[in-house]
Amino acid sequence: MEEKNLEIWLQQYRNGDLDALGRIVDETRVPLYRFIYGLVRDPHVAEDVFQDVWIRAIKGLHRYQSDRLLSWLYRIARNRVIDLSRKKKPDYSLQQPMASGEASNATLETFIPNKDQDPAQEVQNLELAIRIREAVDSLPDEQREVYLMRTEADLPFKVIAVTQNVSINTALARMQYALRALRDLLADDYEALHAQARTS
Amino acid sequence: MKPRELENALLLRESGELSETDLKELTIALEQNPELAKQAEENQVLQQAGPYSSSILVPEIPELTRARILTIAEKPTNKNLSRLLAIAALLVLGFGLFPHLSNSLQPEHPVVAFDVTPIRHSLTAEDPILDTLRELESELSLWSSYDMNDSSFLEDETDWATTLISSEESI
Repeated sequence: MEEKNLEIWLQQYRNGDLDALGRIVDETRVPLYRFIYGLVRDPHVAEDVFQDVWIRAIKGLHRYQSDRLLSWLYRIARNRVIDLSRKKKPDYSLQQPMASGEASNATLETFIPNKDQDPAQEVQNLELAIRIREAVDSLPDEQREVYLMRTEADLPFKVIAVTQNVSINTALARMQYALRALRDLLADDYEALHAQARTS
Repeated sequence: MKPRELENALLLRESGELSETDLKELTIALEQNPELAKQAEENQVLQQAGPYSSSILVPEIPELTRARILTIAEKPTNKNLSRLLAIAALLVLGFGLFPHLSNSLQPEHPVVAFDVTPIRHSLTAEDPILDTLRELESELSLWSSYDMNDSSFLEDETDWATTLISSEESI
């Protein structure tokens, strides 16, 4: 994701080009939504938060001065999720253990076997995806945030550090801890993950 | 580089934030240190795991949400328009009310002493207020004849002083 493009589109939107805002939303929606989803673990809540992030962002555009649109968006998202977890405890607590059967949050499409793929393989992939999700969900909040921002949104550490309001070394340390924890939690799945990483 | 710095360098290399110098140093370290090379590979696998899981489990965000966001984004223009209209209405109202407001906001005429003679002339001879007026006038004329340096006042004061001192001495 080119942040420079985002800044140009943002300027175009400020000059009255609504399509430019559409381009920003399109460019950021998958990683931002996945980041939010990774924190709230509910597609409907994630949708509401995603929309709310953009409403707040649009309202605050006149105050937005820096050239770090992404860290600004992720910071709004992060704060919104923290607000929700405070208000809605225990429903959306960030520490809440994941409900059994993460697949209940998946769409029906998830269960329709890909015609190009063996159905048995499809089920294995789904099970692996659920185990990964459970492992990521078990990380402490700060580590999970860094992991999601880094892996889902491809944010550099300097932006992650700004979003979390910490030093870059702290952000790096949190990522190290997250990876160490995941290495232990997913030790049995490492071969499958390795094979998956080679094919992707 | 120390072990911790090398671990951080692995992460910074993947995020594209490692300087040229550090990248060269890391490349040499990776060639010489199989443990570090293994860790680098594991890091990559584990960092790809999250997006892989999301690609299967996280649903697409509905198109409707995007449409809602863009609709909301359009509103500031309408908001500005309504704000302008409100300002214009206030201005019109202000111009309309100005003459009335300026009259009512004028300061009251100051109260000035005026001659009572015309009033006296307007009263009848039997009017009871005339007696009151006459009494007041005589009182005033009485007081105007007194002088504060009059010796009778001064004597009076001396007497009072003598009385006070003598009573204090007796105590």
